[in-house]
Amino acid sequence: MSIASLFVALFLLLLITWDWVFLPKTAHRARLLMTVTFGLIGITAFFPERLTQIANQIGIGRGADLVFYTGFILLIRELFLARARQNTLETQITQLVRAIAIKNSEK
Amino acid sequence: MAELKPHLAIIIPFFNETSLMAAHLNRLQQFLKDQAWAQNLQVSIVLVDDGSKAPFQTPLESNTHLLRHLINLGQGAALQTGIEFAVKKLKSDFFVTMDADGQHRCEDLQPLLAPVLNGQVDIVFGNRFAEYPSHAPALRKLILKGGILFERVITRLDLSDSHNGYRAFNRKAAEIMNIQLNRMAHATEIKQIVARNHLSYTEVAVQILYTDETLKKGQRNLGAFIILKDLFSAYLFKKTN
Repeated sequence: MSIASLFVALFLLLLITWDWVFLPKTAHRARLLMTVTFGLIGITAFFPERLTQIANQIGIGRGADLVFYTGFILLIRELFLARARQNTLETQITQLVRAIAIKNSEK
Repeated sequence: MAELKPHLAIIIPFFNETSLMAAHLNRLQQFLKDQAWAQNLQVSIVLVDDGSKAPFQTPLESNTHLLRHLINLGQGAALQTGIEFAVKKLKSDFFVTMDADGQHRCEDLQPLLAPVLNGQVDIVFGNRFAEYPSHAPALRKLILKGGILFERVITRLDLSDSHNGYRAFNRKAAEIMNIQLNRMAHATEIKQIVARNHLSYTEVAVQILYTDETLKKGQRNLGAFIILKDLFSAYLFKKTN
C-alpha cells in the first residue's frame, strides 16, 4: 500500500463520516449509496493492481483511468440533467410570478 | 349605439428605473392626448415592474395598469406578462412594446403602428439604422451589426436592427407570442417566433435617443455573449414556439 492510497482512503473515510453526521436523516438512502460508492473507490485505492487487471481486460491501460472515465461520464451526465431540472424550475417560477402579477394588477 | 374603438395596449417593462419610468410615462400620456390618431383608439398603458427594489409610486391615470413581479425575472419575462395581461384581461387588438428609459420617442409611435393598424402586416420592428444617423457608440454599433448577421442566419428574417425593443403587433401575433427566454435573448426569440409561425412583418425607421443615463442603464456590450449562451441553452433544453 502506498502513501497515496492511504491518503485517498483517509479522504474517502472523512467524506463518508461527514455524510453520516451532517446529511439530513431523510437522505439515508442517498447516504448509503454514497458510502457504498466511496467504499468501492477506497478499495480500489488499496488494490490498484487488481483494478488495472480489470481495466486491461476491457482495453483501458490503467485502473485509475477506468475510474476516471466512469466518473467523468457520470459527472457530465449529471451536469446536463441538473441544467435541465434548473430550466424546468425557472419556467415554473416564472409562471407563478406572472400569475400573481396579473392577479394583483393595479389600476 | 357607439362603435367600439379598437384597443391598443402599450407595454412598458421596467426594473429599478422608477424615475425614468415616471418621466417617460408622463411624456407618453401628454403625447397621446395631443394625437388625433390616438383618439380613434382606446389606449391602455401596461407597466410591468420587474421586481424593482423601490416601488413605483407615481399616481396612475385611469388608462394605466401596473403589474409587479415579486422577483426580478428579466425583460423578456416582463414583456410576456404584459402581453398576456393585455390579451386576456384588456382584450387588446393592437400592442406596442417600448423601453422605459425614454430611448424610444413617442413621435415614432404612429409610424410604427400604421402598418399593423392598416392590416398590412402582423408585426412591425423598429429599425434604428434606417433613416436616422445612429449615435450609438462605435463598439455598440459593431456588436449590434454582428447581432443582425447572426439573427439573419438563425431566423432567415430580413431585419436590420437586432435588439430594438420598439415593436408593434396585432392580436394574432400577441396570441402566438409565448416568450420563454426571460432575459435579453428574448429579442431574438421573438424573431424566431415570427419566422416559425410565418407572421408577416416589416421594419419602420425609429430614432433611439442615447444619453449618458440611458447608456449606463442599457445593455452592457458583454451582454451579447450572455445572449448567445442563453440562446444555445434554449436550443439544447427548452421548448420552442
